[in-house]
Amino acid sequence: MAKGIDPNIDLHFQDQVEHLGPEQEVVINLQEGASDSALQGIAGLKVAEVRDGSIKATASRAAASELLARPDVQRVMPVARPKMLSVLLRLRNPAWDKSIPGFERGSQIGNILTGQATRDAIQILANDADVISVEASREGGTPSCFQSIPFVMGVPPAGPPLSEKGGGVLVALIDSGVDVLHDAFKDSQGRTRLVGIWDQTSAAGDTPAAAAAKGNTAGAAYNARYGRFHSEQDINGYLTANAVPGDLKRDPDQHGTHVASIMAGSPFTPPAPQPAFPGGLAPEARILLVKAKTTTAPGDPASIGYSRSHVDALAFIKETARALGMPVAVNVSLGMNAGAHDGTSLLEVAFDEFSSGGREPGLIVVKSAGNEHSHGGHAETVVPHGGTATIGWTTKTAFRTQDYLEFWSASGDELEFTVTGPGVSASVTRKSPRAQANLPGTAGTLYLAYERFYQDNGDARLIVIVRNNAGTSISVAGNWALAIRGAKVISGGVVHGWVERINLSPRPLAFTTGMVAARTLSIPGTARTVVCVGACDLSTPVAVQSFSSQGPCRDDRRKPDLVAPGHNIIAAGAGTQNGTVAMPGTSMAAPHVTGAVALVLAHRKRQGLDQVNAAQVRAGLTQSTKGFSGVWRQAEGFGCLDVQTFFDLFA
Amino acid sequence: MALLSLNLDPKRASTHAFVVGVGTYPHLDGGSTPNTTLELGLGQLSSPPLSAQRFIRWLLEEFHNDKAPLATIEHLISAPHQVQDKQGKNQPSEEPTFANLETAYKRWIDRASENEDNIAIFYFCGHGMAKGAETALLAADFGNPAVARLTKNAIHLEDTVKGMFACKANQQCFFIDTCRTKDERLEKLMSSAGEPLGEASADDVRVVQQPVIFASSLTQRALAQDGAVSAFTQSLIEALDGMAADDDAQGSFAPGECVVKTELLCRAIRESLELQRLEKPWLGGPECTDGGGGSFHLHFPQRPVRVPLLMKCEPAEVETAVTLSITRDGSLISERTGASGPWLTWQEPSFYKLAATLANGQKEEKTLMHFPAIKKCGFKFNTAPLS
Repeated sequence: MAKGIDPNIDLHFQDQVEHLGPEQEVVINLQEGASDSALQGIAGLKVAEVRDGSIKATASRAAASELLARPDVQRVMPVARPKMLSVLLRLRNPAWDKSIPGFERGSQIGNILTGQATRDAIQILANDADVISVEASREGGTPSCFQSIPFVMGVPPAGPPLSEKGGGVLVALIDSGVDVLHDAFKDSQGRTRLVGIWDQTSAAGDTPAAAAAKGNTAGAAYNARYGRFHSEQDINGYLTANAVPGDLKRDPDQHGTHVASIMAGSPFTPPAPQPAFPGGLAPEARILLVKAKTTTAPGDPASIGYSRSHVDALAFIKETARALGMPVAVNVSLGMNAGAHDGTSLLEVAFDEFSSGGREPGLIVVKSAGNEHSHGGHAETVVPHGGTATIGWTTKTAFRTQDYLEFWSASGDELEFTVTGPGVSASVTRKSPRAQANLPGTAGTLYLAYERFYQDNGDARLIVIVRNNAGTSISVAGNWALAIRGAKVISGGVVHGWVERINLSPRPLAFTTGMVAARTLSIPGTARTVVCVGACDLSTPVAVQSFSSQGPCRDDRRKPDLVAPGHNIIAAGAGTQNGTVAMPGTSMAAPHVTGAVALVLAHRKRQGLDQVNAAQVRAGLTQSTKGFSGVWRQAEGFGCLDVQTFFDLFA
Repeated sequence: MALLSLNLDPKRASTHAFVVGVGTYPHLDGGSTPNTTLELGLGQLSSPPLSAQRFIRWLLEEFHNDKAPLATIEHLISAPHQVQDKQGKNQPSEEPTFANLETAYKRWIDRASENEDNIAIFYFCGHGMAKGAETALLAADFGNPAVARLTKNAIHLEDTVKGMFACKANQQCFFIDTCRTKDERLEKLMSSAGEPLGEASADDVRVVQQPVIFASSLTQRALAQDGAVSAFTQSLIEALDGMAADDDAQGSFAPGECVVKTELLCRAIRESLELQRLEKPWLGGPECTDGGGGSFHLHFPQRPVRVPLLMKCEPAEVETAVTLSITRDGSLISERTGASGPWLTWQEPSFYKLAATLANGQKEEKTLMHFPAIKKCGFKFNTAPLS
């Protein structure tokens, strides 16, 4: 690949195999505690084997769709790598609009453009003078909801007794869905409070672009050509019928419904003995949902991937806010582990571009910090000059599509890397930056790709991938070690490693040596303008939750910015008319902050004051925490959200 | 019509090839007009057009049979791929829809029928599946929602082979580079494995050599590296180039004196696939299968035959400490020192002395009759001392 091309693209296509016949192997991940025996009898599903809570199977599209609708199923992932890859382009000229065969244009935020491309098209893009770089949109993204904690001592969302209720502003969430039939999302007249839904996962109905062409988007000029758009009118129709289309569902994952109701749910009375739900923080704000598609589904011609899903979502949200003439606070609760953690990736830059680098008023993004504190997802070591340091990890037998790790270091250090695993070993150096080796038999292949000067930050990156090129899943269990020799260490010799999350419990891939709790924030919470939120309880002094990811960023920027209640929050339970459920996680903390931001935006709009921007909001949030002392700590940031003080700061 | 015509002389026996490479399936996943009601897990392919082009190039550059020289190649390869003629000029091909396949097939058997000593070669690379024990080869327009029968745009291979009794050529061979996996949904959706491209009457039945070489056994997948010639076609060409050569009782493998018999192809292809898997174990699985149907002398290699020679040492720890050497008539042909893994070289058929020598002087020697399809030679050392 030419300069400026993410090596992940090359690795994606390398040694790719196609079957001259049907290709349907999928890996199914169940929710914790669920049993595979419950899947018996699903037409079109053939379970081959179950290991460590993961299932290897073949599934038709219909079967996959049925599986995904089940509350006990977390993911259904096809193993074969798609032939078109979703990418993010960094443009030299934002007006670039060339037509490249094999490249389908997606959304654009600033000079970041999304799309999907064939291998040939990526080569053409790489040679285009107006394209600075091309990055793969990797699959990933798991909710920052820590579901293994028992639901005890739940507390309702901590909203302040303010007269401001968030009317006239938009809150948006990129999440698993929202149960639009739940009372939390109806106004006092029984109408929906959602202004629209973009279901990126659906192949039925009008895409946002098609809906815009028909004039069904209230003036918003959407250009997304995948997924399904549900207008406010459509959703009110669902309320009348008391049923939703089969592809939309009532958020079987429950995550998005819970988050949205904390952020902006209407008050409702659940069945006894549950206490009344007092409403979310901004119970009169309008709500916009993007149901995110972060993994490929069986039958998809192309992967969307986390980066593209979220950049396209931001473009959609921004256009909706423009058409409505409303400021918007966006809540993001899905994150990724692997990456530079320094805010320089195209994904993070796109999040910054959403608000023009934090300067454009009325456009704020809030991201949960992640629940990675104790998952062994980050390791750190210092390599001495002339010596060797080792980082170890272990893998389990669970079926998965691949193992993916990234290691970052200063490019000034000359390091030599050797990865050793069960029956396999491979090495890379500056002079020999690519290596691969086959595991015994047909268990899989180990790939190493090292770049001394990574295009986005000038740092050095080592990618480690284990996968099976035959289009079958891997199930490699054993101990692995990365031995790093310091051939010439003059820039500190610090090496950080991150594993990409595989949302199984226990995680099938985790560091065993060198692991540290610091720098476990999930991306894009590491973007410069994004408000990054950890989870705490309501005790005094504040207790940060044991799962909450910690900072700082790899470049030592101070994140998380603050913490908010994320310990067993009681909010709307999807699939019910007015039920509640308690959930813990930084996913539940972030919407407290998003809702608080919506209140400030609404107040300033109503008062005719100049609207605040993301830079001002971030500063205000961190300086209005309870007992603010100016001291930043890696777990709690600048302290716990104080909605009243924050509101008063901008009133 | 997409035809490469070389030596079209109906008065003399000749070889006529029918080559199909389907990569674009508009009605399958990722196609321009996908049939969303189909549930077959079938998508677009990059390899078949390249594989078909590679086979055509082999026919043009290497195929040699004095009794039946190559006369025509009827080719149907998914756009935008083109076919290079013998002069190296790109010629447009024809889209491999079922209708185009049917009419091209008719033209092909008409030409092949002009002389009973003709050879007819059928090559298909694309999606395939098994229904029962029968094979469906999917044409480019398979799954067209405008057609009520799913069987309509699939070729029933076995019935097509039977239909080839109508072709007067007494030497016919079929190379089928597809999966033959069984799919429950297909079994339900299709009443048969497709339709034959032609049919024969009872009067046509006679002794005809009709070997069928499959890329995969029944229920198996066929594999290809994305954007490259398929594993089977690559191995088929290696087999034709010499791994399937026979001295035909002449005692010589010299160019023009040895012959590739179709009965030897399957074993040679299997061995070649094994060699591919040495570097790419993920190509494991498919096994070339001989569908039977007789044998004939297909090709007479004109280039020197080279046969793979695979040497390895046990235990594996000694590999990097051993020197492997190949000598013939007292002359050193090749040598390898200090490398790990098996050593693969290609040598002309002959008698060789092979030796493995440790640095401490410990030596193992073997004399080898090196003839197609492959020779594998292992050296075992009991010793631990490597210095």
